[in-house]
Amino acid sequence: MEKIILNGILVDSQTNFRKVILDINKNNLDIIKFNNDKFLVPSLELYFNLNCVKKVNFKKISQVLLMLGLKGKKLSDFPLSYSNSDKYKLLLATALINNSSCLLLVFPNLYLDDCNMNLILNVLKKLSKEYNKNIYIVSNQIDFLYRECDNLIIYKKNNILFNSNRNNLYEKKDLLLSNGYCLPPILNFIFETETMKKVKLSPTFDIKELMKDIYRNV
Amino acid sequence: MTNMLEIKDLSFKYDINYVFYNMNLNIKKNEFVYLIGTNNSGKTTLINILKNYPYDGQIYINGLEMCNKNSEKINKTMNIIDIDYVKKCKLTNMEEEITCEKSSDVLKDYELLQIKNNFFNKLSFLDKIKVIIFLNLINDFQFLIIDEIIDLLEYKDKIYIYKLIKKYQKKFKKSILVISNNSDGIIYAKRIMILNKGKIIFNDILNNIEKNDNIFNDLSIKLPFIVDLSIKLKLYNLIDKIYVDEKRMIKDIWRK
Repeated sequence: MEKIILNGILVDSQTNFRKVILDINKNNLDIIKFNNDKFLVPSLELYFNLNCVKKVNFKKISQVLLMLGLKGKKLSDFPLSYSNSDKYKLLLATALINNSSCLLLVFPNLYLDDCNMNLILNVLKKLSKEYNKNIYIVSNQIDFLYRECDNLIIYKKNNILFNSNRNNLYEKKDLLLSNGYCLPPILNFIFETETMKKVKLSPTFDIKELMKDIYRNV
Repeated sequence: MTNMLEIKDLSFKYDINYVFYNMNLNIKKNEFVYLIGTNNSGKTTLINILKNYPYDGQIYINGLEMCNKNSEKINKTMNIIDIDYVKKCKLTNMEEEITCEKSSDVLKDYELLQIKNNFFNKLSFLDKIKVIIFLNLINDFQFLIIDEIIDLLEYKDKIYIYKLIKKYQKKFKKSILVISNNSDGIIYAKRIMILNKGKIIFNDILNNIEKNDNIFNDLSIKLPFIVDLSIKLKLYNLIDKIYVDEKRMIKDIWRK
C-alpha cells in the first residue's frame, strides 16, 4: 500500500484525499469547480465580481484576464451571459487574483476545449515553476493527466493504487489493469508492442519520443 | 428523402452578434456523425435551437419542418440526450426496460448486468448516463443527439460506449449525432464535422483528416493517439494508412 503524507497528515485508505486537501489548505486553497460559482454573482458586473474576491487594482484584473485569454471581456459585462468555458476561466481568474498557494481544478477538460486547455495548462505550469504554487487537477481522464501532470495519484474507493512520478506508471501497469483502469493510449501501445512483438519501447508521454523509438526498433 | 437532419441557411443572433449566419448541416439516415465544437463555437446554441429556440432558416427532421404543428411527430423521432436530460430522467421500471426482448443482444455486450438490479435513482450520475444511452439505443427514437455527456465518463467507459454506439447504431438503423469539445470518439464515427465560430469548417471522413490536419492544428484539437501516431508514421513511410486499431498497426509496423 502506498502512503501519502500531506503536511504531516497521513492520507490512508480510510481518508478522502480531497477532504484532506481541503482541511490542510482551508485558508489557502481555491477550488475551481464549475458548479461552485460562489465567486460569480450574476447581478454584479465582471469588474465587481473579480474585485470582491480581493481588492486589487484595475491593472491587475486586466493582466489576469489577458493571461487567461479573456482580454475581449468587458469589465462592465454581467457573467451570466458567458459560455461555460468562459465561466470556468473566470473562476480560475478569481483564484489567481486571490493569490492562493494551492489550486485545485476539478474536471477542467469538461468545460475547456483543447485550445483553451493548453492555454490554461501553460499558465498553471508557469505558476507552479516560477511561483511555487501547488496545482492539483482532479479528473477521470487518465490519458490527459498522464500527458500533462508530473505526479499522479490514482485511487479506487479510497485505496491508493499509485502515487508517484508519471515516469513510473508503466511499471505499475498490472496493478492498474487488475483494478479496472486502462493504461493511457500511448502506454497501452508500448505494452501491446512488447506483448505481440517482444519489442521493448521506452515508456514515454511524448509521442515524438515514441516515434524516434519506433524508428530505432523497426 | 435521405436526410434525417437538414439545416438550411440557419441564422441566429444574440443581440447584434450572429452565432450562426446562413449555416447548413445535413445528417443522413442511419449515419453516425461526430461534431467537434470548440468553445464558443455555437454548439450549445445549436442544441437550444433544436430544442425550441426561435431561428431564421429551415430545419427538417426526417423530412418534417421544425414547427409547432410537427412537434409531436418530431418529438417521437428525435431525442436530445444532454446533462439536463440525465438529471431530469426518472426511470421507475428500469429493470423491466433493460431486460426487454430487444435489449437481450445489447446486454451481452453491455456491462449493465450489475446495474440492472439497482434502482435508477440510486445509481451514480455516470452509471445513469450509461443506462440512458443503452435504453436510447434500443428504443424507438430514430435520431439521437448525444450532447457532451460521454465526455463525463472515464476514458475506458468512453471508448466502450463509442464502440457500442457504432455497433448498434447500424443494427437498429439509427441516425446519431455526438457533440463533443474533443476528438476522442472520431475513430468510431462515419463522418466528422468541426464547428467553429458558427461555421462548419470540416466535414469529411476519418481518412481525409490527414489532408486537412492543419485545421486541427490551427484549432489545437488533439487527435486521438492512434490517428496522430498513424499520420506521423506515414510521414516516415513506416505504414501506409491511418489505423484505428493499434494491434493491426503494430503488425504493420513490424511486418517484416
